[in-house]
Amino acid sequence: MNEQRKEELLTRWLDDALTDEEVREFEPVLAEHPEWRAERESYRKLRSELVATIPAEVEPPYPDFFNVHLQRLVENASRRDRDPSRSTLGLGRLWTWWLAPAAAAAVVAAFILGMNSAPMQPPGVVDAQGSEVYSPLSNVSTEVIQHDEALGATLIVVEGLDELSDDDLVVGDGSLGGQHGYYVVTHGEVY
Amino acid sequence: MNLFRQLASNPVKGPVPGDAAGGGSGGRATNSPPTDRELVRRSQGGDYAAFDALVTKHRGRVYAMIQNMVKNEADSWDLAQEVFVKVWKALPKFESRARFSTWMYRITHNVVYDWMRKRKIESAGEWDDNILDEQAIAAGAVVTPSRSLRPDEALTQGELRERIESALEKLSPEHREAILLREVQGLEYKEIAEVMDCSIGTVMSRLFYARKKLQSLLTKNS
Amino acid sequence: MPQRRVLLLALLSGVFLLGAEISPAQDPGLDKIGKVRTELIFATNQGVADLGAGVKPLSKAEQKRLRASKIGAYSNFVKLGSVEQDVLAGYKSWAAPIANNEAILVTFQPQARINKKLRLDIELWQKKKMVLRWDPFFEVGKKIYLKGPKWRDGNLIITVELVSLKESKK
Repeated sequence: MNEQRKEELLTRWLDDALTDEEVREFEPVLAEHPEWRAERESYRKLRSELVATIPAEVEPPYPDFFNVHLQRLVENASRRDRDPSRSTLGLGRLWTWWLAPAAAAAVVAAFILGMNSAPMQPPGVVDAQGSEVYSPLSNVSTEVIQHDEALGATLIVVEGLDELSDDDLVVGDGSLGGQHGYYVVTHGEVY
Repeated sequence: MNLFRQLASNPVKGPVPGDAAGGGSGGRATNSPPTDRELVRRSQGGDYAAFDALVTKHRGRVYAMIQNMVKNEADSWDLAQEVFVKVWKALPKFESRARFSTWMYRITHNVVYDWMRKRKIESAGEWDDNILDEQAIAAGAVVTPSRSLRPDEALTQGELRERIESALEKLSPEHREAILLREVQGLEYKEIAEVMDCSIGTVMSRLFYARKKLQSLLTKNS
Repeated sequence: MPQRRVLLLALLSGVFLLGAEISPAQDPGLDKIGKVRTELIFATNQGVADLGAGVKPLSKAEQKRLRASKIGAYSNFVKLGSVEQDVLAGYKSWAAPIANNEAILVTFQPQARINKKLRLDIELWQKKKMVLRWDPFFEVGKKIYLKGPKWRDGNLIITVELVSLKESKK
């Protein structure tokens, strides 16, 4: 019996997956290696530890947002790929079909998040149409101000984040005159 | 955020169990949840709610598989998203007689290996533990920073899990994947061959050597 | 460990791990489509002179705008850190406005492009945890301000700005 065949039968034997014919083929080889039985038991113990510690299913972090965000990606992908002349799924129709409730939901969500719902956007303001804010932290709240008049820009106010300490922001050994120093680095071109 | 939960859960509409007229003995049987085949068929017909239900049903397995290969939460999340976008796009080509979960694992395999190839962490043998252990923040390192960037890794793990995960990380991607698909995900050899796009013989060989290596590593470290 | 970190940073400064065999020509995800600047500002009512020489004041105009904004009643604003990075078509970037400091990190990844606007998936990370995710549209030259965590007696403000955007290929 060649090595490759032996390895295959050993693997199947370990998994109790030998056919009757394979059992007959393997038994003489097994008889020459009685130590294999102990090794099989050892691996089976390891396998049960592996199965007990490595989960087969793990919900991704922020599972609700996972689906919502995916929907956005699918929307973008459908928009890019849409070709009404050859679409077999009717993606154009599909996109329109589920977009309506999603768009309506985005408006409601925007209201709840306190977005500025001025009907006319001043020129040059970033358009946050349909954009979503999400925090996995239950104590964090956000307010999006589409156009802060004074800043002339979009401002998002986040409340509830942990306060930072001086130790968090110190850089290396930065210390000037007994105070912490902060190095400002403008990296410019990275490559 | 409750609104997002409501919107995102988007359950597939169907009869509520126990709602059947007559109830009790002699009443209608409770409807079981839709099968993958049914959800796929409806998704292929343009029912996004059915696709959303497929995602909810399978995202745990996809994410677990990716994270066990990639070992980084942030990247795993993004890669899992990529898997389902590809699933969505490839649905017209999916033949319903095939098993959806195997097909989905195949796409997951491709996404993970594309990611690895781009990150240039290809190895015919053992991984370089130095790269895996690095937790540096590569400030300004724009390209695929996550393997060396693990700011979210703060989980406490049992000693056994650490030893096993450490041993798994020392396997090559192919050996690790074979072990995970067989021992953790419970796939048959033929399914593993489909997922990894190789022959059954290759699957057997990979399993054989992966198991030997794992045993050797864990015996050495115990 | 710090020395290994420096070594890794040095290795990664060339961007491609273990040698770049895949060029932008082969991987369209590596196309640079623009630049983003991320800054960290400190808003306070206390004096700023003792913060250290590395801290830079903001322009008078920006300070005036910030004072009048809904950020809150602060009198002084200084820049603690700033970093400018390329936006790659298919990859997520991590920005650390204060070099070598993980307290505040910002990630960005392009999602969609409509005319001259670019939708970026933005994440704010605070001390190794993702605290916020947002996907606004950006226009060149327009900053987005994010009033973040408290520090000392004031607030940190994170700004993200699309500095440039390449013409899209047709």
